[in-house]
Amino acid sequence: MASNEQKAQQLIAEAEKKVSSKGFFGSLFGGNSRIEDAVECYQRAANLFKMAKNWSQAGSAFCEAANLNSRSGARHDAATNYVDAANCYKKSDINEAVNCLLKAIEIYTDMGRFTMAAKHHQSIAEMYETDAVDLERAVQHYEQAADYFRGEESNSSANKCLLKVAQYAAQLENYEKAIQIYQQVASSALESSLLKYSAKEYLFRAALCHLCVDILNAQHAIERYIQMYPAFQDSREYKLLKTLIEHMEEQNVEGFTDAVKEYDSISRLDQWYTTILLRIKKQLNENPDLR
Amino acid sequence: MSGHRYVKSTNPFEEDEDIDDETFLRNSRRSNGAQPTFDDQLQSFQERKRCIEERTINSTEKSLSILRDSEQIGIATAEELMRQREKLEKTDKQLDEINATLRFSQKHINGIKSVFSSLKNYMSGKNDPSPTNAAKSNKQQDTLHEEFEEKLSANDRFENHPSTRIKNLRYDSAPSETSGSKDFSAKLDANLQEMCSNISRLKNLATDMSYEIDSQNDLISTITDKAETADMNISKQNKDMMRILKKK
Repeated sequence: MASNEQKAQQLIAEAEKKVSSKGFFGSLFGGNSRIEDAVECYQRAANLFKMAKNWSQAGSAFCEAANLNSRSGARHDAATNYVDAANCYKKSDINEAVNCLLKAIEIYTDMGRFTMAAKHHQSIAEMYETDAVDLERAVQHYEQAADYFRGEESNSSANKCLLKVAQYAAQLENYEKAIQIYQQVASSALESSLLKYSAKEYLFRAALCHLCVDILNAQHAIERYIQMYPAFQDSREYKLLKTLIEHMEEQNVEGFTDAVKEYDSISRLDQWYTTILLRIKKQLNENPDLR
Repeated sequence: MSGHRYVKSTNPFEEDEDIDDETFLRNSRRSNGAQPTFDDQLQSFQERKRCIEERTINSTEKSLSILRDSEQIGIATAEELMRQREKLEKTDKQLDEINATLRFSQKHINGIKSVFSSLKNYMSGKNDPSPTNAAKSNKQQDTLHEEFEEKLSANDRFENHPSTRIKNLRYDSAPSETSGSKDFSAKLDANLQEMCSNISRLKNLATDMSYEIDSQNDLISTITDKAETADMNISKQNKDMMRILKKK
């Protein structure tokens, strides 16, 4: 392990020497090949650091290689090096990783490779989702990724990112956005034979977001959904919604909890559903019956 | 009294006085035991019946949750399949472009190689429409696929229709609270009905996914062919270039 690090340090010193080559003659004659050699040295050094699990050094070596590549105009290689650097930084310093990925995204959008840029936006968003929990920025990056995917006609990848946006938007209480997205994704899902089975879940989520805002709107929305997708009426989700609305109109908190528990015994409600349902229940408690 | 005579016939060797005491006791035990055992039996049977009913309902509910879980997994797989299909179609298009570009570069190499081949190039002039042909054939495949899907969804509607009629009837009659066993059978019927609809949905989902996977398999084999052609062309052109560069 230590020998790897030593070798890596040696390589970095070599590379730096090559880059800061002595003036005029160096840049005239051996300019290009010197820089390519330096890039290779940096890459090898970075790989040795990776073997020694020294992630931040590896990341910085990859970044140096990327800088050299972009200076000499090999943009594709520069972008790949930035992505490698980000992979190394992911394990030590997330902000650096995000910076590297942003630089790579810049290069890709410049070259017009929007699919790659979208994929990297997605990775940044996932990092913000799990490692450094910053939901707002995650939502931004997912939105950007969805826009790029839609621009490249990869509609199902775009829908995947949009669903995450909607999930976090609802968690951050931005219910309008979430409702829009869920309705849009559900209506496009209904048109495909394979995806129509997932439509009822999206309509269920949209209805729950409606319930967080206003009961009457929710009821109208559910009517519309039944028009859109008649089979929704036979599903367990629709029955749960009906019972929840009834209990909400009667301000019956226990009935509400019982209905939710019964549904949960058959099919698990994950954390998003529990958060939203708890918010709806709190609304019940706060709004005394004015009738 | 009748019991006393009965006992006497089975125990002929005992004396009357002893018999009297013992048989009286035995009689009393049996006669007191006959009726309670009957009640006990009834109760134990009823309890066993209740246990079995509870177990049955529990197992139907567990099956329902398992069915829903598998449906969720199926839905997630279907979405992944759609995403994969998009990526495969994109790869297909890009391979077409790669092959077209390789054809151009082959022409350029031919032109560099020798004078005769450059003359041939000039004669064979503008042969460009091949990439657009490929796009048209893809569209044909898509329309075939759509016809398949329409037939499938028509079947879907047909299958859903009579079963939903039945379901509507069931749900109207189900929630009647009467004695225990009627309640049980109503609940059991409702659960079994739901299991039936879940299973038919799963079957439709699985059929759709199998069609999708079959067409994706075809896509993958065309992509493999194109990639191999591209690979061969690239290595051939690399060799040609090396030869030309070394010569010059």
